Amino acid sequence: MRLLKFTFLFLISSIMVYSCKKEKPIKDLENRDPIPFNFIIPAGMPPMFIPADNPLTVEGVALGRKLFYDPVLSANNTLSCAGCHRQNFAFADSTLQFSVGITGATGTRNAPALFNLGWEKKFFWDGGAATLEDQVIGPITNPIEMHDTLTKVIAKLQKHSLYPPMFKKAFGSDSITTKLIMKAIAQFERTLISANSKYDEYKQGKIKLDEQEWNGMQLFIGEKGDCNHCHVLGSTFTDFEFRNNGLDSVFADEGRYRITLNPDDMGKFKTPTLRNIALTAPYMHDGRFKTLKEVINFYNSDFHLTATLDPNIALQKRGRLNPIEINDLIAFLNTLTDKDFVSNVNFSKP
Amino acid sequence: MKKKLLAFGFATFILLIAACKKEQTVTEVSTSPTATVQLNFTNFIDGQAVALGLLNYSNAASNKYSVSLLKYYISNVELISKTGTVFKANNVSLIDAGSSSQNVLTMKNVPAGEYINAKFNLGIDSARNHTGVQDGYLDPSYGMIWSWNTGYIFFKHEGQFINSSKQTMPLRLHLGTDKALTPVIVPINLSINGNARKIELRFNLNKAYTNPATIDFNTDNDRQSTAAADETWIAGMKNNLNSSFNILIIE
Repeated sequence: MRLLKFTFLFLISSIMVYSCKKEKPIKDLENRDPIPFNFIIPAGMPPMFIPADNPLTVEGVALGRKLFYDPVLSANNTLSCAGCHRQNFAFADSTLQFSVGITGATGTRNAPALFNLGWEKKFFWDGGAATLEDQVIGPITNPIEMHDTLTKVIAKLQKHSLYPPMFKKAFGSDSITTKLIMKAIAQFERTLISANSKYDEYKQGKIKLDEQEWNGMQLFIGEKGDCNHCHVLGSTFTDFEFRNNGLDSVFADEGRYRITLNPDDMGKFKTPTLRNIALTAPYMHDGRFKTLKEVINFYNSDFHLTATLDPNIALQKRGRLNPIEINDLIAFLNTLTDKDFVSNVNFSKP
Repeated sequence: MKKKLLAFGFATFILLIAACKKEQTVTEVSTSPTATVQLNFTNFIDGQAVALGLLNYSNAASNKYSVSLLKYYISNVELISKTGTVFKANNVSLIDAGSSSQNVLTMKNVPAGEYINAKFNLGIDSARNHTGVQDGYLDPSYGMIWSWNTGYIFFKHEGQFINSSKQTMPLRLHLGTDKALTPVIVPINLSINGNARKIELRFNLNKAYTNPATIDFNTDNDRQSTAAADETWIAGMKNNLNSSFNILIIE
């Protein structure tokens, strides 16, 4: 009898506890949770920080990719993110020094290439955007770029036939917000990983560099070429720091100082990665150099001494590289091109 | 036996049903009743309620000016009692002189007590000031964030003014960055004892432009908190804003 009593009570309790659970309706295909994106960090690349509140999902990445290629994000529906970030140029803007906004206006900075962004710490040349998500609203609202307002973009997406269901699948809600637009585009951008160049194959022991490339690599890491202090050899090819590389003695663009108002940041810009560098001409924050030869000539002899000049450059002797060595360095930089990346169909217009 | 078992089972059932209730607020030990306090934000220029588009106001520097837009953040409102207990609203409110519905903060379950000070921030604290991936009034679509330099615009006054050469000129004052965060303490005489109360936080825009720092629009008509030249203005505004509010008890 006692046993029966206990069984009975246990049964009731179980039923009640079970009924206490939050309603969990059986999810149909429309309402199922998004599928985690199978994200593989290539060997040799560091672990990537992914914000806890924006994990990558198949649906989120697909939505971000569609948004990235959709001119609906611009005021007159003519310019998408991809309009100035083209895959065949490693998501830099062709060979234009300054990209052209919807009104025909141009800015003062060269559109950066987009890849390996998950490892970056700050965004834009001056690091003004705190996160990859925060970066998203810059070009959309900038009057000289896509020149739209977030309120209008949300209204356009909300009445679009495809977007509300895509937001629902990715984020569980078809009520579109700025936050979700930021998250989706950032998700897609984090998938843009480039780490399969000739150099990577060499590092994995699959191939050998030719003599000129190998000589270039020695110059790159050695004190003479001294690229390695900032464009660290091996994985990301940047230290993500802000530095004054001696481009000017008077700063037309104050760079990082504009963000921090710290005099020590005058004329500093983010060290860009050197991966795919052969594809992303022109060079420097203002695209002033058309070729890698011009760039190396500048570092070899033409840098300007100012108070905030990076010490790694300030301590260098002018004219230390001869023309052969300059060509060797260029040969090595050409091994950093990732042909798979620029032809990867997962990154192209959906 | 069967009856007893049934009764026992029934009791268990009731207990479990009761336990099912969500949001069981902490049972109040004290018997003092709590109350809802409604805080209305209002915007004045000296004695007059702000009217948009009127080029007829005059500040301490004798600049004639107008307000086409006036928005600012009030966050982390706290009520501090005589005995030192603190009620925290944990709010982020975006006050908009052009909105009739937005300028209300409802604080629920304010414990009984004699409240002598109200404390709040004009602006957004640094913990929330450096990403736009946020909801509510921190949603970037409210237009109160800089997209090129992640951070919120704490205070925005746009309009026109008449300069010393009698020309009508644009006025654009955007105050922000961590150093512009302004903690404000306003004395209050509010007794809570279970009855709903209504209070008004009144902002006097003219006080933002004087005492201790007199802001003259002839030199300070376009400030976006972005250049070294803006730093003196930021510091002045911060000191002025500190004493630009007072609280009135309505009900």
